[in-house]
Amino acid sequence: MNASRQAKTGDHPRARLLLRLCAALGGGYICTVALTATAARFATLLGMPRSEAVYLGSLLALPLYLALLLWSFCEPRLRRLYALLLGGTGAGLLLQALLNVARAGGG
Amino acid sequence: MTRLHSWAGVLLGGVLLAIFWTGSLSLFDREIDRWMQPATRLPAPPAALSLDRLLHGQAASLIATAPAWTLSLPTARTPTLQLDYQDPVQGPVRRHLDPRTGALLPDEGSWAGTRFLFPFHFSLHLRWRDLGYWLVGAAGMGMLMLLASGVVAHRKLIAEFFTFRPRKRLQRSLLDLHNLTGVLVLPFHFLISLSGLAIFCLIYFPGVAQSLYPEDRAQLPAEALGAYARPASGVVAPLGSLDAMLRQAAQRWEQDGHPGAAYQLRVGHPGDRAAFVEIRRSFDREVSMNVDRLIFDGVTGALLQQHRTPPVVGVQRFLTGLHFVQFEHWTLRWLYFAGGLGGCLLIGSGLLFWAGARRARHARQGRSGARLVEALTVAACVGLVIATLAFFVANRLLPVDIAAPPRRATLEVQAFFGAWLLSLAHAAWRPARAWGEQLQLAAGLALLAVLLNGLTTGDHLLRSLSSGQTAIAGMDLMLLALAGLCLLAARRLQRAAQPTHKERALG
Repeated sequence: MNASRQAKTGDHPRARLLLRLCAALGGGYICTVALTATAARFATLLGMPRSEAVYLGSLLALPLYLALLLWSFCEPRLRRLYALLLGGTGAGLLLQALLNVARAGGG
Repeated sequence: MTRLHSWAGVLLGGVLLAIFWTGSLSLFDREIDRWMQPATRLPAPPAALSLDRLLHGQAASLIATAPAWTLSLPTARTPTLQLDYQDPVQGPVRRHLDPRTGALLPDEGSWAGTRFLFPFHFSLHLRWRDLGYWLVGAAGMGMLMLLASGVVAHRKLIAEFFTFRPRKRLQRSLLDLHNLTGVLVLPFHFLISLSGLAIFCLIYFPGVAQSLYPEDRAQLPAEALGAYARPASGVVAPLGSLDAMLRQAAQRWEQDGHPGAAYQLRVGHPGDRAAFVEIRRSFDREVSMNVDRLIFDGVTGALLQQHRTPPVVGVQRFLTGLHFVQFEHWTLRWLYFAGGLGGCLLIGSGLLFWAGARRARHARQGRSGARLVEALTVAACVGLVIATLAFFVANRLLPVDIAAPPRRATLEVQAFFGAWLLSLAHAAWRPARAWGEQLQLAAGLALLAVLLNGLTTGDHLLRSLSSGQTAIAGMDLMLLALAGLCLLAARRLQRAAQPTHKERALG
């Protein structure tokens, strides 16, 4: 059972590398922006001025992207990598959409 | 992790070396400016200036029609008054004025350190769609990844710290040098890379600003940095007293608890009734490059707006200041220089070690090494130094007044890139001897530059040392040191090329 699974995943090392690079460079970036933009929006809800929140989010994006990049190259399972990156991006976008609705409804 | 380190190093090594090299030079960009623009080699500026008197002299005709101009006050490192304005034909123009007489100093047409080497460091002079900024950003993030993976790959940190065996085989010495410079200067490398990325964090992650300013993105610089603008009225009115505004600014900042002098004035719509003057507070006594600004009405001198650096922006400006080193602290400046050169050694030794290991692997497999890879390594390391020295030598050789295009600045830049390309061509043509010959050429060019400075300006080393011109003396001394290092390296490589004791005994 194990041997056949290894044969399947070890068959296309180039494809796996390409997928990993896309996840790391592209997916990591999108996930970082989604999460930090959401964090910045939350900061404004807590009273921080907009300009300050933008700087806060942009600064925090640097170590976050670095962490995601390093993890992308260490995580052995591609599926888990994609799941977490897409999940993070989705969560960020969803929260932002909710905030937009709340603002449109309240303001 | 080791594979990530090798791949990232190979792909980004050349770019990172160029960034670290020009960055280290940029620490002394003002001094390089003095060396390359001899007309600006003035003594220390007077403590008190009258801008109104100085600007009514020769400068008045220059700025009569400019819609805006910037005046940078003289400092110890830049003893001239600098006037920046936009010319409809020439584009951005910078002229220097004598701070004592207001006389316009001759335009030597050289970009020198502050307008060539320094912008090369953060943009690689690739303007098309900000490509240069993004490449440097990618390289910076890559550097952080290289540092992390390098630390993981060489976990025996303490052991590496005390290991440098220069007399062993070249590969062993190279790896030792790589680990030594990596470990010894690790906090510096990490901080310099992170702070460098922090400077442009808004450019690298525009999505954050877009998310919070969906319709009014132009509001962000106004709120964060105090950027001010108002349209011209069309009614003519004379500009008020700049000296009075400067005095008022100093008083305001004193009252605020942030005493300081101004370092720059920007005048919008001069000669119009809607003119305004923005005065920026100096940061030569603090790390953070503050964005404290005062906006005065250009005609009446009344205060229109005061901007104080907000807290989070202040954090980003502190990181920026850590990277820029604009504060007055010579010990730290030299330490940063040592760190930057350590970074160059780190990257260069890494590239060389990788090239050597690849060469050995190909020899074992019976393949002939790709000449292009070898040539690129030479060009990335020694070629970069040769290009810089060619830039300096061209500056001393080219006549000052070249009226027809290509102008002097362009010719100097062409000398830089031309020499770099020639280095690549030479390395591809003579792979076995490329390193030694190019290192010797670099040493020769450095000595030539020192000689030319003495011949063309008369400020040779003895004169500059005795008359206290530390910038010129420092530049000449550094060039001599560079020549010495290149010759030493050439000798070491020559020794490595000869078979060792053991190999002779076996063979």
